Amino acid sequence: MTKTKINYNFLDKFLSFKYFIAAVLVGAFVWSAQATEFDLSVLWINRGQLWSFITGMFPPDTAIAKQVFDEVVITIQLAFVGTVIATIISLPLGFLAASNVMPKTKMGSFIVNTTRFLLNADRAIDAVILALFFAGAVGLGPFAGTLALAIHSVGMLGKLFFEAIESIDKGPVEAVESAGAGKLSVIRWAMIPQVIPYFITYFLFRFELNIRAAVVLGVVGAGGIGFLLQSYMKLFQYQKTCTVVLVILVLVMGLDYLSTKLRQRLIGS
Amino acid sequence: MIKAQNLSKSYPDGTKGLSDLTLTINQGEFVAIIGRSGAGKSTFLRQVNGTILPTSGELNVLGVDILKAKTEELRKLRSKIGFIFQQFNLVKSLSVMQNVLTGRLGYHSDLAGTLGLFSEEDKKLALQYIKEVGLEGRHNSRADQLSGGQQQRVAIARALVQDPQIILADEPMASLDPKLSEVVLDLLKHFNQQKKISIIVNIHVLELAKKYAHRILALKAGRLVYDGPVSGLTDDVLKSVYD
Repeated sequence: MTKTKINYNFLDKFLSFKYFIAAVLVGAFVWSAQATEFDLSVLWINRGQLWSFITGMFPPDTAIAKQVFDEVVITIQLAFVGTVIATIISLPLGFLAASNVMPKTKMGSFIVNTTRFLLNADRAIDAVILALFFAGAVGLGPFAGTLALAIHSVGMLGKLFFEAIESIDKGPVEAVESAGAGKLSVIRWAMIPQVIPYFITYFLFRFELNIRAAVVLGVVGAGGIGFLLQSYMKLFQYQKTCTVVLVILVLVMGLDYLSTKLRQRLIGS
Repeated sequence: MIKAQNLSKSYPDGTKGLSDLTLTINQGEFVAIIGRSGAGKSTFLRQVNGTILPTSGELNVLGVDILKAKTEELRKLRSKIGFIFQQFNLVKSLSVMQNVLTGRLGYHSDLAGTLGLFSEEDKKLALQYIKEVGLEGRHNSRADQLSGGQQQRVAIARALVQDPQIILADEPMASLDPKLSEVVLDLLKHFNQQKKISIIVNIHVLELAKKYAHRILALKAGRLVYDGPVSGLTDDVLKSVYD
């Protein structure tokens, strides 16, 4: 009799070592928790302080509403300028990274691969790190934040753009080529009309992400509402801090709602 | 007008698209190519406008040597050859007018085409052919708001606006119901007779091929197994094509 050969997939093999894996996980957790001084009892010991911190936040101070509003506007402007600049840079990169746009030659695939590598590398560097870097170059403030968001967003937008370009229906492209159109005309008349709704959607999505990111960038000194938040915290002005936190909450949730609605209308999914 | 000599196409994976095709097609002919799917019908049409290049042999279309032509020469040649597809291949989010105007891109520099600098003449021609294919007044509709039959009419107008000497049609009725198939082929027949445009059409429905074409080419596994009038399509010939 021949033995039936069963091909175990990776998950099956993985699970056959389950006790060993469980032991490793528990060991790693204990080791890491010790290193990070994770200790829930500290929360209990300092409960009085925690409580006074929470009660100290209420009622929120509405006297600073005007100032908070101004900083919210700056935060949105920072994200908007950053996203627009990122989009302007990402559009040509998206086409350079799309294998159905570049010629199928050695040079063509070299350009595709190099552009993709640059986009990947760019995505790997967080906006906060870029902001600290630019703050060193141009000084603390919204400009450093805008530059950081602009550069960081190129990685994601460029990738989304080239993926959209590569997933288009190639029938119209063949049709327009067959009519004797040149390369750029084919892009303009057969490709761009197909990708525009996606590009607008990705712009809005990145704009939304950048407003959230802009809040965090403020905390490291790159202007906007985050900067205000960090200033009040440092001065132990918890009622004012509370106002800022609430405004951020409303801003992010409102944005999420608007952006989802708009996206649904644009690509109807 | 179209002269093929020992034309062959093999793909990198070793499959043969066409082998040793030799034929001549003259101006004004209405030719139907029959054969099973995968017999090389589509490959042949796409070699005629140079979107697929032959691997060996010779192919001369309207005086252009396809194997030796440079990109710009191919582009110029294509402007004289209309192509109609099974799936219509319209740009769905553009209007009927814009889709038809893309047929004029071969007459403009790449830059002018990209900027959409179509002439009044282009627009007049486009409107004229939109009318001739029976879509008068629909020029501002989005292409995806039209029915399949209407979309194929737009595609025919797009081909005609090129002022072509040849129209290649790859199964132009396969996505349409039988009644609409005849409408599409009637249109092609009409322009074949009126403007002496040569029509080469791939058809898998034998009855339609017999009804419309003067001449039948039969392909089997990349080889030309019949080339002659409809009357010569005996049962023996058909058996050899479809077996």
